[in-house]
Amino acid sequence: MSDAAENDRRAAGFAHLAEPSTADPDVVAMLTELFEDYRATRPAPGATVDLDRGLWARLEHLGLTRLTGSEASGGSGAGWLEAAALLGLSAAAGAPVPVAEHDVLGGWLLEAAQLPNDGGIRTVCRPDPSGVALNVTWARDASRIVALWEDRDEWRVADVPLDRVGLEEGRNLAGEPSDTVEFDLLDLEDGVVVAHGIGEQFHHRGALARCAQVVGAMERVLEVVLAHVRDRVQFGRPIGRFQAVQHLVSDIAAETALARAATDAAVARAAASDWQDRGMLFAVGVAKSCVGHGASVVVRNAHQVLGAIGTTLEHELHTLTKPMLARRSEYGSVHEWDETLTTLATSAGRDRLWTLVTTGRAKSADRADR
Amino acid sequence: MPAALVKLLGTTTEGDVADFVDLLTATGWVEDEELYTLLHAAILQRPGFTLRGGTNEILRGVVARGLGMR
Repeated sequence: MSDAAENDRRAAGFAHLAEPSTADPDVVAMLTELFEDYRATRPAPGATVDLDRGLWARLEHLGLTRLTGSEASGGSGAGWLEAAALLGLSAAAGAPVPVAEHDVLGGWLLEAAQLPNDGGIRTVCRPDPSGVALNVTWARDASRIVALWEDRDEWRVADVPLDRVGLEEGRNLAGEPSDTVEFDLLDLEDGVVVAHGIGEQFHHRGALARCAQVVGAMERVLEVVLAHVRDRVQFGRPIGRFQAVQHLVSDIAAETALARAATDAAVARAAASDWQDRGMLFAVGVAKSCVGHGASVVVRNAHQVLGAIGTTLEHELHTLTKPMLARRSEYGSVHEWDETLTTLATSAGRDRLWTLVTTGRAKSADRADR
Repeated sequence: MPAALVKLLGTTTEGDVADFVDLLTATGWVEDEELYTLLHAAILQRPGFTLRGGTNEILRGVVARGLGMR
């Protein structure tokens, strides 16, 4: 390859950085207003969290429940930049609605399988070979469950009505519906065969959707903490005057900024390439790892700063921190994603590590593909 | 000061153990009810460990005083 061609190729790797990588400001303004209103008017938090059908109807009316669906299939035709904004702002408001499951995961799988979408609430899962899926969020509230099933080296997508599955109700760490679902294998075998890449992409999409939600919640946690340290007076001054408290809050801000940057980078790459960029695995891994480790610091420090009040039922803080911890462990544990990144970094080696960091793939791997 | 040191180290470690297990476990793949029950109990109770009976920040102040720093 000539030097000029090599430079062009490198520049192409950064092209997504030069393109607009922020969501449509009109959509963001609408979402911000909507969820601020929701936060101001929602019922007081309880020990468990249930689907808010009123809010869901409002989102549906605004075309937000099928934000990323193609217009041909009744969706709003938006991209991942807008989807990430919706996921983040709804999580920041602690809004109990299945925006990730229904649209960016379930709706996408239905389109990938060219199955019709009637708009009824969907959730998604990957049942095991015996047809059982654990911890399926919002399953009891869905009209149908979109199952992605690996069957003898083929991936199938089945859109199964709720009344055809066995359901054992449970709750996740956040108190949200998280049910065990048992499918009739015949329903899964009737599923539409989809391309092999769909299974992997589903895992990446799920992981990034969770990142967008956790980061949105982190940003709200920082606001809550900042308001508290200004208002709460102890030992004769606002606690934010104490250096020990300032350090806790600064670390919340730092980890939140890192998690936001890593998530935005992956979202921008996904939006620019419609998930076709070969650096997606690395980009999503970096986001999931930064978000996961950042959540440890943000959750611990926020509760440390607020003291016991942050864990009282009426308080907003735990309605943000518990979902953060529940979501960081979905679509792969933090440890699994750390291992993926370690493997990518060590196989890139000293000479290709920087290329991996900047483009999401090591050049040597590209050569091996040819 | 010894009491402050022990509580500071002990409750921080208790929290670290819960967080370490949480980083290792993924939701939805392995069915081990006892592990998840214990983990979730630990995660939900963890904020209290380093708060009640003297926060880490107060305890560090006690340690600093014991070391003659204030």
